[in-house]
Amino acid sequence: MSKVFIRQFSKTGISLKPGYSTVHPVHHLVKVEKSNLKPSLKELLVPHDDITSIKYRPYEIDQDRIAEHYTNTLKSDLMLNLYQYDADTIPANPKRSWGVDSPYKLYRPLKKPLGSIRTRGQIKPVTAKNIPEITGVTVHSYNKKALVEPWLDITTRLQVATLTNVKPKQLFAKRNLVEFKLRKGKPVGGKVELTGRDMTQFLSTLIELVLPRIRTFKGIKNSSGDKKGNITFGLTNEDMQFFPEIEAFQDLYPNMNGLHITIKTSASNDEQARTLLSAYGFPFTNA
Amino acid sequence: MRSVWVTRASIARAYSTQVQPVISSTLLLSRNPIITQEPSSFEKQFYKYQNELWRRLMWTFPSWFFFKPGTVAEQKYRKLNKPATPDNPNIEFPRGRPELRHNRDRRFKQTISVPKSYEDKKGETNAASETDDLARKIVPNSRITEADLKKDLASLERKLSRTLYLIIKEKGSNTWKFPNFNVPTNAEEVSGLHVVAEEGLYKIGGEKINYFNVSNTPCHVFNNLQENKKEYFIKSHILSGIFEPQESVAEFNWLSKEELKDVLPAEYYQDVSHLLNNV
Repeated sequence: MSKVFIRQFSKTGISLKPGYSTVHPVHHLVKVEKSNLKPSLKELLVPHDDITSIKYRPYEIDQDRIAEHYTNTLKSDLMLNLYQYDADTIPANPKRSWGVDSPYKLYRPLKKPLGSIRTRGQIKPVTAKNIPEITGVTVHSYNKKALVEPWLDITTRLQVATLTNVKPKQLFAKRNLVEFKLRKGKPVGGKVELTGRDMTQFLSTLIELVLPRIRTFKGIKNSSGDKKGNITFGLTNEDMQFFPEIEAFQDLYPNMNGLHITIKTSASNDEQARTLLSAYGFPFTNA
Repeated sequence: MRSVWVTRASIARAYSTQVQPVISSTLLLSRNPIITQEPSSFEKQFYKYQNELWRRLMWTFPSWFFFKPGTVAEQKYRKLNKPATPDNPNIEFPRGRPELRHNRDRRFKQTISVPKSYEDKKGETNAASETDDLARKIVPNSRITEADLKKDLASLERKLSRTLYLIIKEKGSNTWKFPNFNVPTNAEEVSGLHVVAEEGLYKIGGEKINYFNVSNTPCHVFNNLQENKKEYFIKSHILSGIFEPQESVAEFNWLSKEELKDVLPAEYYQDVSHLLNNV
């Protein structure tokens, strides 16, 4: 199914909500945000990290234990551990062209990468300049029950916000699928992108308090990963009770929903990413 | 012409008779920091300021969510948290007029007292209940340990916030050094540098030690010209257990970078100082 773009005078965006636009603008290509034009909304234009902004929030409120551990101890270890003698840059494995000798080939979707389904970026030898690090964590909670009972979407987002300290973005169903009761544009949960302090706080909770107490958890699967150094794993709704933010108030969260946690790293392949994450204390397993 | 040839030949002979340097493996065994670093006074002030600012700008605590109206928990909460003084136009407020929103004065940070999940037993001093009771009050341990007070340099529990390195003094020797092991020269016994270091560690420190070798690749080479040795450094961490000195070791210490500077020979320290952690 192709993406639907709704075009307005102000901006163009992919529409996940049903509906259509009656406006047919093609005349100006400069992106305009209406809030920039309105004098009464001038306060919103101040960057959020400026102390005069109404959205200012101090982040560096305490020592960042996990980040300090990385810079002081892990970084030099990782450089030595991932060092390979006489290593060369391994070129990327992108999707391939079918050729340019016929218009049919020219407009055909690109061929799969050689020997693989997914593409891979180039792998550079690890030096002091590109030691892998965790760049972000995405916490994604899709609640399929919210399709039937819409209020569950709110509790799902509240749960994600409680766990991560960040207000989640609303997720919408992307397509119509009768068998899954999916209707395009229905709210189905939330997701947050964590960086900085919120990220290290969430990671330390996960490593030290949550994962060790899940009895069925054997480790993150070694097969997990997108070949570009981002590793994903899931937690079920029963595992949620081990988060200390929820543990003491379980009766306030009667409808728990599981999470998909993606740890994004600057490693160029999954193997390096796994080395990095196991240095942080994430267990990995083949089972 | 002939004399020139003679001198050249003599030089060549001098080189060929020189002994090949001994290959050896040096173990850089470290204990990683166990607790956070001690922040500088500036950092402390900065974090305190930011923390107070954060509390001041924080959203109002949703007590209605965490303490449901009509429950015992809510009664306890209300007993601990008296409502703020409301604004009254007929009253003068010398310290400024209160701005109440959702029972919170917006001018100040919100401080909340939460009902304790543990019981404060003041009279009782039952040792068993103090250590085993899950609901006891959590008190952090001191950052300064017994070993710090006793200045026990051989203890692994000293300087918890620093990286410590193992140095030894061999029997019959008077100099401190990192443990160093020669790689066997005969073809049958020869093995990798990391294997030599690992086996050597057990020989000098007993088998009650659990270590992690960071890599099989050495991180440094030190040309020991006095003993005609090439010392390859293998980086390793102690994870658990203890170092029990065996017969060949006269003394051993766990020291931080600054302490190593005073103890190691100056030339040797200068050559390896970049390997040592400042933290």
